[in-house]
Amino acid sequence: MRGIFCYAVANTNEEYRKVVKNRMTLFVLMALAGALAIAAPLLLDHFWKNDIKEGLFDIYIGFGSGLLAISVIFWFMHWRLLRNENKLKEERIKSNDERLVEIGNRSLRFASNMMIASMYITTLIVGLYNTILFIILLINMCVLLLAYAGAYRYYLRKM
Amino acid sequence: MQTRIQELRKAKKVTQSELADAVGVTRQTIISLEAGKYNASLILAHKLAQFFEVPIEEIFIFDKEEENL
Repeated sequence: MRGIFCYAVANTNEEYRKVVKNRMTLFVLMALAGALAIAAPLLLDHFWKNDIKEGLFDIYIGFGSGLLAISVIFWFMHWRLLRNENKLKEERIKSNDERLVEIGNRSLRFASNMMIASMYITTLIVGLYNTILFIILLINMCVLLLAYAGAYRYYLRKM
Repeated sequence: MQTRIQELRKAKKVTQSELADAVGVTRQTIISLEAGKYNASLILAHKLAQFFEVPIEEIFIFDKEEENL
């Protein structure tokens, strides 16, 4: 999963220490997002007596707790990493390793193709029953392709 | 691409881990390079050449037929 979440250019342990600290800040934000996902349906239910569907309420709580738990665990793992110079060096080399970066890029390319294919099939099936979902899925697919085209043009000028 | 990394490494009496540490990659990358399963970038090729104190073309064996040239 390094290709997606953990790629970092750091030639020394000091540089990598900054990367790890930035990631720890990101985990705090992720934990807050998780807490918000838990709090939103609870507050709606308690103060405004908003009628939330039973299943949806559980999904919000489950998603929020998962995000919160993972963020706390990752934050702690990175905190421990900062206290061990050898482990820090090992992780720095792994996150800079060109072969691992290439493996991450290829995996991401494969996953993107799979996602486009699955979205296309889902859009066709959903389109028969629900127009709004059909349009949302179509927009999502367009966003993905437009993001690719935009990024491609950007890197074409940069490299 | 075939390489002479293993041969040069053994001649210099260094382990895969030591070589990996010296050029800043993982041991698995050295294993893949030695097996010819992964092609090194220009930067890594330079680092390896500096480590073994030989020109790049003495480490990496460029096969014209393999590259369709």
